[in-house]
Amino acid sequence: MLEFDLNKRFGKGDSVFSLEVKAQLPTGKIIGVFGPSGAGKSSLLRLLSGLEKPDRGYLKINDSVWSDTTQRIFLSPQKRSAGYLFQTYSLFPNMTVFQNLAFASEKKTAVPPLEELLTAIQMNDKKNQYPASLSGGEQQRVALARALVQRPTLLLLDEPLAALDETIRHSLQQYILALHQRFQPTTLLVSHDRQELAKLCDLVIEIKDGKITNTGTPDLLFGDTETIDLTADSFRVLTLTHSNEKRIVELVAGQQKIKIALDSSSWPNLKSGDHIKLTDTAFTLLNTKNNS
Amino acid sequence: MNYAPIFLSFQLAFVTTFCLLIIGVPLAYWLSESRSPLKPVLETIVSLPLVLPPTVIGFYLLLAFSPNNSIGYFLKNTLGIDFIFSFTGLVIGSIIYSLPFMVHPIQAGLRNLPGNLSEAAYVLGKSRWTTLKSVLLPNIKPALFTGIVLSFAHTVGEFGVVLMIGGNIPGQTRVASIAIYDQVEALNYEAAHQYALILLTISFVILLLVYVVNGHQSKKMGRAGI
Repeated sequence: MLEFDLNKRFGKGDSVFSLEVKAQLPTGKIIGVFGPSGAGKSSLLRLLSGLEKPDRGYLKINDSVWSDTTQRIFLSPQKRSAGYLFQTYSLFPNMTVFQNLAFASEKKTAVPPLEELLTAIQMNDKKNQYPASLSGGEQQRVALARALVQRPTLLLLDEPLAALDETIRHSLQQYILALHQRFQPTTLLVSHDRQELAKLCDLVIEIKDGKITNTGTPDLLFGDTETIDLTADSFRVLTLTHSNEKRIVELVAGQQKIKIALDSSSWPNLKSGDHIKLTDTAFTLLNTKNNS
Repeated sequence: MNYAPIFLSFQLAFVTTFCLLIIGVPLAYWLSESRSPLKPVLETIVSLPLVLPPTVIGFYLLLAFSPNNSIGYFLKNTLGIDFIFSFTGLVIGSIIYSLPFMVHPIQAGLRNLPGNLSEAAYVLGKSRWTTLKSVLLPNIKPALFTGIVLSFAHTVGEFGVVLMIGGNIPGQTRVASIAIYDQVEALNYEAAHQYALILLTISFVILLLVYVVNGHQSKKMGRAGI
């Protein structure tokens, strides 16, 4: 489980921005981070990587505490098992493709053979070339492989595809999926592209104004909106999922499927199989499924 | 012609540049990365020699190292070091006087690198030292070269600080610039001209070298995408 509750104030005076993020996320998955520009997506990744120090809060992954202000624990980026892929190409210009990967592998254990990684990103034939002679997509492939050299527990991808054209984006998405399948790191992927998130992610968290406002499957968060008939006699509760402080309830009536969000305190006993009636402002519980 | 002042000038420049490289690189690195409130204070101290008359720096160093002062007294009577009118004193004065010529180019070079290069190295588990040595310095070679050459050339041409701290002791503190001053005072313009021409030629060659080498390096770095 990747679990964090982190607070950090950025800037001074009028330009103060507060990030207050709290979540419990499953490990080994690709988790999308979605939200408008300036919402705090990259800041969240910087906090998780240790490149920024939180003012308050904690960060745990698989029961390993990386940061906890109450216990005065703060692991530097060097001591965290994290990989980071930046939006802009961050390959070291003075090193070849192979040297970039080899530099990442020094003095580390459990390192996959570099040749295997080069093969996985199809860069064997260009391993002796310098980054400047590579295309943007190739550079990001190498940077992705370099981030995985040490088999990180947490892989942070900060809009890695934003600067690439459509064809290369599609190709790199396949590399991300393939490498994730092979190494299974818990991956946080920042993107503005809903289709990309829907394609790559198991789960998406939405950030607005420095806070996580929604968590759910891409389908749940980005599903198409439809005109629905609220006058149906009753809706059956199909699924209930939790998203931050809310519960997302999936309802079905005939061919209609809708999702609604409830406060945690509203209808605490609502469960899958219950039947409810919707009005334009509220709904009424008609009957409840017998637990027995 | 006595070449001893020329050799002494170059000896002083070599030692000073070497010391400045050791001090200047970590200092420039700290200044380029730090968000400390002390940073502007340190930047001001580093830049002071650019605006202060060399005699002011020389005067205060002379006071500080004087055996009548507590620092000078401690250095002379406890450690047996006398900086006044000695080559070591010249080196200390030259380091302070040429500090901005080493620190500023390196600091600018580091600042112009993409910020995420060092962060990418940190996340890969690399220490600050390894990051500086293996990632940052190799990518700012022109800035390093500029810092080294400017510090060297500036020290060769130093006059005020040297005169204040070192005086004019033949073989010990009489560097080329002092020798020129001496010869002019003695109305021996021919000897002064010889010293001056040597310094002028060497300074021209050094600066030409900086521009030529940096021109090549810039093209190379441009091709490397730095």
